[in-house]
Amino acid sequence: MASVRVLLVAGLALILAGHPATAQETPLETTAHRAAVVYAGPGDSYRQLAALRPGNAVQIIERNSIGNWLHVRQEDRNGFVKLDGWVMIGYLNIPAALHLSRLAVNTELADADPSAVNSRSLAALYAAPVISPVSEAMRKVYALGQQLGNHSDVVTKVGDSLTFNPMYLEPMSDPRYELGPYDYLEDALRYFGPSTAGGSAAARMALATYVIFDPMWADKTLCQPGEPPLDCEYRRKRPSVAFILFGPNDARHTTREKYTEQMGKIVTETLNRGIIPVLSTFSVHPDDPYWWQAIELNLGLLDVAAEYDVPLINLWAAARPLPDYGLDRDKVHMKNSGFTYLKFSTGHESWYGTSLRNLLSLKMLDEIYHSIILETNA
Amino acid sequence: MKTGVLLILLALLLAACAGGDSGAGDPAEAVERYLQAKIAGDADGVRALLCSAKEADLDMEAGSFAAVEARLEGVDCQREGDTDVVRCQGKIVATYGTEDLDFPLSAYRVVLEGGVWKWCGEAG
Repeated sequence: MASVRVLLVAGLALILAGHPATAQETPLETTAHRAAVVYAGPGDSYRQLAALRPGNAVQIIERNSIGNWLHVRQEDRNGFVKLDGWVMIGYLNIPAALHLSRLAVNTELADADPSAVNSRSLAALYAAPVISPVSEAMRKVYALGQQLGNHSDVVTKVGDSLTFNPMYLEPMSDPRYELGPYDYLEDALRYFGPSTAGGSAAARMALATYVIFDPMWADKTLCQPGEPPLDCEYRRKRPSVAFILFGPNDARHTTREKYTEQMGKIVTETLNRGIIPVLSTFSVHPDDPYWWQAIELNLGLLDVAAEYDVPLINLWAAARPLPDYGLDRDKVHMKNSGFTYLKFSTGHESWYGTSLRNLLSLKMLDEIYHSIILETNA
Repeated sequence: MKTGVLLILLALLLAACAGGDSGAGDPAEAVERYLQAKIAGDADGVRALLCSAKEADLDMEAGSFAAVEARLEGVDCQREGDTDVVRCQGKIVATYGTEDLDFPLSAYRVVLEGGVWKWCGEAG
């Protein structure tokens, strides 16, 4: 924790000192299309520095690793820095010339500043990176999967109605995609995208961590008698990666201990089949009567990810600055943009929970693709 | 006349008891009671009717419908001859939010343990 804090302080000092961008000699300029909060770092737990008013021009200096937060700067005619901080990309008019692959990536600042969060539980949750590193252990898992006959370019999803939602993951199979500035994600999208069509036998409304092992919940048109939904999906698809999200239903009737035990079983089952499990925390609305239980389960999930050394998407933290935490009117399900294909050209990922989740999932696929699949195949 | 009625009743009673599993009850009825206990999250009821081979699944079986309001619709279970299979018609309907989820019933294996018919998973 102390080293993270040192890193954060060092990063903040650099920003406040107005360090120059390194990758682009002439930073792109843009404007905000609506009022945006400018933070001291790429996340809403950082100190709020100022408000960026619509129409005000800023220079784009660098980005976070994902690219959904941009470091911007505003100078007056004399070169005096009037504004220097981070905004979510969806609040800016995105220049056509903005290619995130060519923009410098800030590797000094963490995704959050947990030291600024009052609650110990919430600080612990913020401390987990939005996209965790993909460990060396996953290379072995992938290799096992290849021996077992898994398809390296197939990905699937496991979870409840948030995951069953056809607007999650499945739009990656639609060739009309608009990656906008996220050009660096194209390779991963082309590689995995087609496999996301057609849904998953292991994603269904009301599913919870217990139920995924219950054959009664399996789709009888897809699964064999006595076959649990999880086994059924893995047998049918033979994927190399599975995105797994449970919690909103469990939070209503399961303890943290039971939840982590069950998630451990799901992860074990997935690893044993040579499939890389990508776990995900879930967004929760503070008005939800099960708010603290949901926080507990999310914290439990961090423990599971650490124990098994598996990749984790911290969707909870990433969705915090979105309107209604990325959630729909029911305050449980993530909000859809209304587009049935991937559309990151207009900043939807800063407004709609499902768009954000798609972006983060694609980013994780990009990590797996480059760090494991390409290297292994080479 | 009275004696005749009594004889008929006695004959019916004997016929009922001659089913082969005297005292064990009806396996089809056991499955229906199991399904009812499962959707109600009745852990004691599930435990009483779950076969020993499935004991490890008790928490899952009893908690499977915890997140929903569930009911049985049009349930009719029949044992297939003298086999260990009970086939059920009908479905479980689970209400989740404003939506109904259907779970068509299928064939289930039953075993006689300790003189009681018990549910033992889906039949292949």
